[in-house]
Amino acid sequence: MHGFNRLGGNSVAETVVAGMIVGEYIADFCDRSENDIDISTALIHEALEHERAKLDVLIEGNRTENAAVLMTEMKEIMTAKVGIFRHGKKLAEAVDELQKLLVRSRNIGLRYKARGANPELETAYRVQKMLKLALCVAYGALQRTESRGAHFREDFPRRDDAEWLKRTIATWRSETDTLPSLTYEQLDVMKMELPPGWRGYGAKDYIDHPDTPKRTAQIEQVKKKLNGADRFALQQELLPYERLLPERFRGKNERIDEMMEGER
Amino acid sequence: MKNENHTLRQLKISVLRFNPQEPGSAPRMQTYEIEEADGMTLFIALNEIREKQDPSLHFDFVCRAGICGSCGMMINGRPTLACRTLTKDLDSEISLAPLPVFELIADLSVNTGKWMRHMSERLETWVHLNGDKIDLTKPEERMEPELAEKIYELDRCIECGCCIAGCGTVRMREDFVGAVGLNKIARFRLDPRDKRNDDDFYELIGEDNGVFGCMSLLGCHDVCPKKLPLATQIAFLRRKMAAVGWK
Amino acid sequence: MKIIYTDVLIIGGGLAGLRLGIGAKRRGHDVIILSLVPPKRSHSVAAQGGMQASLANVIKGEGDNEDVHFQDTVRGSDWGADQHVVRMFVNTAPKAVRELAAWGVPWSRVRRGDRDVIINGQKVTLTERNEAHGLIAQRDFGGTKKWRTCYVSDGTGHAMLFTMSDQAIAQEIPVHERTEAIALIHDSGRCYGAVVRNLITGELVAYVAKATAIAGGGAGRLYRVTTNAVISEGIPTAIALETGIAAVGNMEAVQFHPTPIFPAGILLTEGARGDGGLLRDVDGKRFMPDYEPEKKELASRDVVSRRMEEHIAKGKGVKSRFGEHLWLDITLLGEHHIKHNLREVYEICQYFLGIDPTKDWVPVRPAQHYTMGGVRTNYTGESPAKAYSQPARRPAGTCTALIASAGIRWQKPLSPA
Repeated sequence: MHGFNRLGGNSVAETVVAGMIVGEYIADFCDRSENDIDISTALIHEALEHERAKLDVLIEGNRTENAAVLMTEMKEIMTAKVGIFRHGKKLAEAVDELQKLLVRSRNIGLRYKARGANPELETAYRVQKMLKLALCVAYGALQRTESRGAHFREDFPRRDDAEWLKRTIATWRSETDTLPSLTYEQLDVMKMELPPGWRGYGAKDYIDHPDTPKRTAQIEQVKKKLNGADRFALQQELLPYERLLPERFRGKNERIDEMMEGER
Repeated sequence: MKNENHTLRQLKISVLRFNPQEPGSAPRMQTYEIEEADGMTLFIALNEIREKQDPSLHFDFVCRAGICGSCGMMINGRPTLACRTLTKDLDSEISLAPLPVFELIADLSVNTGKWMRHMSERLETWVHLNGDKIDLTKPEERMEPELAEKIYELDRCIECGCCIAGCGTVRMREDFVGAVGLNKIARFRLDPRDKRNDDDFYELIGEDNGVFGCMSLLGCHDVCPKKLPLATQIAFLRRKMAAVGWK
Repeated sequence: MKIIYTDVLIIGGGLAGLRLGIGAKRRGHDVIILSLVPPKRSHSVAAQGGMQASLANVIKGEGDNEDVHFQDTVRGSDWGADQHVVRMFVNTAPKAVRELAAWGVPWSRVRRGDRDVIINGQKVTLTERNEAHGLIAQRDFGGTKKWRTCYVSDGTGHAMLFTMSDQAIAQEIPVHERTEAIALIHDSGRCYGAVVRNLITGELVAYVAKATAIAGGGAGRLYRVTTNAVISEGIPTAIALETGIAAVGNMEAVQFHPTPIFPAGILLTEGARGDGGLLRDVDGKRFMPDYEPEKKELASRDVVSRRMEEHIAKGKGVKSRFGEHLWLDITLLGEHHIKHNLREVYEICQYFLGIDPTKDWVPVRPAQHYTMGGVRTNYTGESPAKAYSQPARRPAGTCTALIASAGIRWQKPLSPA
């Protein structure tokens, strides 16, 4: 929802709103009896043993890499090469170096071998996972040859809606991979209530999506047609969304200047 | 001697260590030496010790910004937040120990979460709406700005446990609710959205493990990192609850 | 082998996870929340500035509504946002604030009459309306057309998290503290729960649930300098990724905050600028108007961060032992305002820098702050299974959504088509 940059105050709002909305949908899901759990204990046992084995390797494997060192190196690479100002050259280096760290992380050994509370063990299994996330960030940034919101490329400083009005989707197909697999989902300008334009701050220079003038014209038509209608009617026409909300959260919000009829 | 001249010293940090889960572990002081750095806090120091010298050292830091209350510990005998304790304000020999009263996990890590949850359940530290339905499309109920501020002043407690560690009564009786508990009651009592009345609160704290157990030593007030007005709030609550008791 | 069964397993006990739990419990389902730390210590507690909702109670918010909030958010996202989800969000945000108000959050309130504020470096007198007296107040924040950010003094995150956590306790929702989900349990595209490690005893337990939700926050700790807590490592997102089925979206979108203190990275709220604070360079000059004439210090965070770094690269940074930085000047806000409305800022400067922001300028430099990316879901929060093994059932509705990482990703167990 925040796309490529989040406004201050929206994150905290989003946590609560997401909790409200998903809470209802998750309850809907659980209400349906076809969603009852049907899983064999053998499968659960297998999952547990798989994880136990991985922890055993860390604790008893007598391997040689130091988890804290890998963690520090990862953070340095991210801070130096995947920061505010990004460049293809540095991003490529970061991807390369992070991959090497990921391989090394498969060879971590612990100095403190307790099986109970063990901060070093926690660092070890976490750095293995964090490196995958770091690669999603660095590799995604490398592939995105444009600038948008918080993602800024010195070598591609313009926003490019024609090529890049899409979402980066990353999966990690196999445990032996050292890179995520990326695909892209196109955003549909024709469904937007607000077609792409200038934010009002930052750079004014961007490449339009071919659909943008079309959709903009379409919206003008709708506005003309609905001239005089209230804002709700216009909004409904451009981007109907209310049915996407759980029923208990639909409904207009009253405010001082917008009381519901007969409520003054 | 405190570091008045800001020269960088060799620090000796002694930690009371004990891991109840580890067979053969016994409580002992273990001393680590570390070179001081500019702007060093105990957060920085302990992490460096763990990373470079002793990966088996247990402690809890989360926000490292003095907001979350995770890092309460005894620093030279006084309960306070370690993350915002600058080494330059301490002698070069520093003694650390876990907060007393709370269940020890290991070394400097104690289970304040468990204690606090139990306290919350016992004192019902939430706004009791009494089944009032809320219409979310309608504007909020009004509140005087000053009242909102007053409530927030008491709401600021971060449940760090320092008040409990500094309390005389809780050492004598495990079930004492402590300043943290009494402050919560004061907070909810002030809040008009909570439909409980003084009789209800009396049920919760009107006895010796509640407000009448406080001996007014006020160690809590002295050590609270958020400088909550514990002394006045506890005294105020005692008077109000005594009035209920006399009815 | 130890197995714990429940209806809804929630990985993460911050604002999102708690609210999700309350929602599900209210509908009669059993809920268990897993948290690395006691919920009241979650990173949500660090949110200082406030929460946006178009209540339009203050005079500078007059005329605000969901449409304006929608526009600001879509622009802010640089059109990366899914506009259906943004609409859902802006419509629900006022309800969220009002629900929290009923549950006990002591939102700061409007006082009728005149008051002085600092706007663009100048003292301005605002007159709040009579009919707004006692309603929830809003302040200014970056990237917004109207004053829309509801707040609780300077500790909004704390107030919200404590109220939410207390309501979850009232609902008798168990929170298993100091536990960590290290892998999801899944089979044939369906998620059944998680393998969970107890961080105190080391024991591994299988939690099996009809639905598993991921509400574990962002991954600031991928970076050396971040405003985020130590626990913000993105592990719940990572274990979703490791299923090989769930996907993460827009991970390269990482937000840097303009004003964490330098060099520690501890956050100083945007509210400091919202209330009138200014950024200055090594010459003491207020440089932002040269770069952003319209919004100045209150352009969106990515823009302000970039301009600050640009200005440092031009040689206008203040040199120090740890590197270069710029100054945040809030001295013009006055001692009363700072000690009252920006008290956490005052305390952070006092404890971590040993300076008095009512008199001194504060060293700041942008650092990692927010992970916009997260597990890919649709508008209901479900993570659709990939179609490679068998055709995945289409999620209801035709639109898809991406909820950012501070929110929730919900691993819905999908039955094979």
